[in-house]
Amino acid sequence: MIGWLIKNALHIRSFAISRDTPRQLAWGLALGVLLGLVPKGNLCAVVISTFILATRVNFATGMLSATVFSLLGPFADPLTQPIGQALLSHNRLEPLWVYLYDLPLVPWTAFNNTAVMGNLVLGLAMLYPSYRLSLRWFRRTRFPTEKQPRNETVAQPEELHSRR
Amino acid sequence: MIRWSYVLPRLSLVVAVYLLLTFAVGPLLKWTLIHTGETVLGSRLSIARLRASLWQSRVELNQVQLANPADAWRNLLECRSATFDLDSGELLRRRLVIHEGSIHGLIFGGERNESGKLVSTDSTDSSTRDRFQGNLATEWLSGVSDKLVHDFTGNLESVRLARELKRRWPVEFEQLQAEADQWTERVESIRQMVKQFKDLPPSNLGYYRQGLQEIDGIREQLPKLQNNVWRLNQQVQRDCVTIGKAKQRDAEYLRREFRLDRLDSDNFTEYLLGNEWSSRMNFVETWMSRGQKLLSSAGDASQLNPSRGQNICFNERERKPDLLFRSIDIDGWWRMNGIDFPFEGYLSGLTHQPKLHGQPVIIRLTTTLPTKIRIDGQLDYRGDTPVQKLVVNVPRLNQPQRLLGNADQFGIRISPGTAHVWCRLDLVDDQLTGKILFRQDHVDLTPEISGRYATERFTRNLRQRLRKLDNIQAVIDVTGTINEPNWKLRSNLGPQVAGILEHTLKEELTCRRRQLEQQAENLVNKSVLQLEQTIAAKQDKLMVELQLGKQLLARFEKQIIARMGLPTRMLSSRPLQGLLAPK
Repeated sequence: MIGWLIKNALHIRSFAISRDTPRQLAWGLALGVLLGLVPKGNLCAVVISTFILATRVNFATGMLSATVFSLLGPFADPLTQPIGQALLSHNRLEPLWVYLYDLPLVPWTAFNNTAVMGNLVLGLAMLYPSYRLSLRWFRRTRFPTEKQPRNETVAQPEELHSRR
Repeated sequence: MIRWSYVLPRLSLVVAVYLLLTFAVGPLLKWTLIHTGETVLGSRLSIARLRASLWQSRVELNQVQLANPADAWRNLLECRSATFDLDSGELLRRRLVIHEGSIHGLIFGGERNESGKLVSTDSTDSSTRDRFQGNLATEWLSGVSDKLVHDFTGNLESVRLARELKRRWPVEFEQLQAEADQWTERVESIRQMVKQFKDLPPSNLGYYRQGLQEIDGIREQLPKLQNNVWRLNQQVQRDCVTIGKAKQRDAEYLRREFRLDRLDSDNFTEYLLGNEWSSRMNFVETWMSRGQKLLSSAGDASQLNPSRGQNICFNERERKPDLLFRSIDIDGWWRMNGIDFPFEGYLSGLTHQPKLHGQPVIIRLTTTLPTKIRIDGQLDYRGDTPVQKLVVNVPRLNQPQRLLGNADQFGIRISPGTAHVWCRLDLVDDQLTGKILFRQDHVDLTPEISGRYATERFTRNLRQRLRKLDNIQAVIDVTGTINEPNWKLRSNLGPQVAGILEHTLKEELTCRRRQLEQQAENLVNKSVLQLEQTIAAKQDKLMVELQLGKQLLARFEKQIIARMGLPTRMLSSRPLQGLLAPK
């Protein structure tokens, strides 16, 4: 049973990372973390999902990390709900919230929910760190036999600086 | 040159979203409505078909059935179709606002093919009970019927005395007659003896002496017999006086027994109108209770919290309700007392957050067939105390011929006609107040009385007097709580009919009493007179016989003395005693 699971996991991994660059994989994972943390059933989750689908980030890593962090998300509520409560109850931010809530479609994001706001904030805060950490890991774990993607090569640090 | 690798994924995504919004919204909305509705209302909700179009901002439902929580095999309401036009602007702001809607074929209380029970609830309709019992009037009528039916003849002292005398006098007289007959036989024996003396020589004084002694002995009995006859005569006269006094006591007794207690007119009103209005009040009470439970449950929906986190409300002052039905046109029908009433109307301001809406719920329904009924309702849950008002006006309610009261005892049959019914009920929190007015003009009242005491005279008099009543008015004052309402019934019918009934019954009882008195008088007089005549005749005859016997004795004595050869003047001095005494 365990062997079967490992075999399929490796198969998925190889399929997932076979054609995309480490950056695509890392962004997919980071966005998946964000999607996983945010409670579902609102426009926030739909927008994030759409963004994942609409961009060229790796969909598989995104969905995989979203699944994992969806299971972990409720355990983060004791941390995230106070964050959401503090932000939504802040006096100086209230005019902003009132304005936003009166806009079309914005109420469907359920941003006035403490869990949604708190997890969104946490997810956004974890977005770049998740990307950086996962990027390093994806670069280290690329197998030599894997094909190089058509439009991208493994960039050297000097090239990265020059591109910027 | 088109970059299909860029366009196609994004285009497919847009198409997917479009297809989702077009085809998936309906089933999703149907599931949400059923799930939320059953949770809020506690009974099964079924929707045969639901079509939702976000582009047209319209939702259409077909064959909606909401089961009655109190009766699993009946629907609280069902409709053939319902159409709601959504306010798209509010929908974009996550508020479901129906600015216009229509519900067609709305039926209340229809039958179900399957059980609509979700979970066992303790909600039950208010039990049907007889609020207006009129038990005092029932007892009064029972007492009156006993008076009219019961045979009091056996209770009358004079009748009893007459019967006793009828039994006793002949017996006593027969005894007297027997003694007289015995005496007469002795006189006859003297006759036989005197006949035998003809053959005896005059010197046989012993026989003559015996004969005279016999005559003296018989003669001595005569005063006693005559005294007995006289005594019996005196006894008869005394008994007649006793019967006379008994008659007076009997008259007093009958007056007492046939006295009529006053009938409680309010209780009599309940006796007459109680059955009819109990069923109507049960109906009103049931629907008010259901409505209140339904709205209380809907009010609790505003308290539903999300599964994670808490929703923070911004700008409470300008906040609007999440669900609002601004105006809905309704048509359908309901059945009451076996009659179908098609109705139409509208409903406005229905929401589960009335405080945010700031307007009460307004309901207006009208029916035109078979009679015009207008119902205006206002449900105000804006304040801390909910206030509900209901006004029902029926200008011309067809009333069939019906029986008020109890045909086995006393009832009044009302002719068919039309009545005006007006009702206002206010429910503040759970305190209920209100008034119900009923008036039916040009009525013809016919009494229906149990055959036991329904004499033609009584029924005729009652019918004539009831003709003076040509309208029925009733007022029901409502107080108490929604769970324990008090209904006080007042009417012109009770006091007036009670007065007529009392008056007619008094006449009937007086008549009946006089009949009884006359009957007793006749019975007693007949018996006594007959006895008196019989005994007087027999008495006279007896006295004649005794007198005749006395004369015979005197003649026989003369004959004996003459046979002895003595002068008749010696009979008076009786010196013969010494001569005739045995030596």
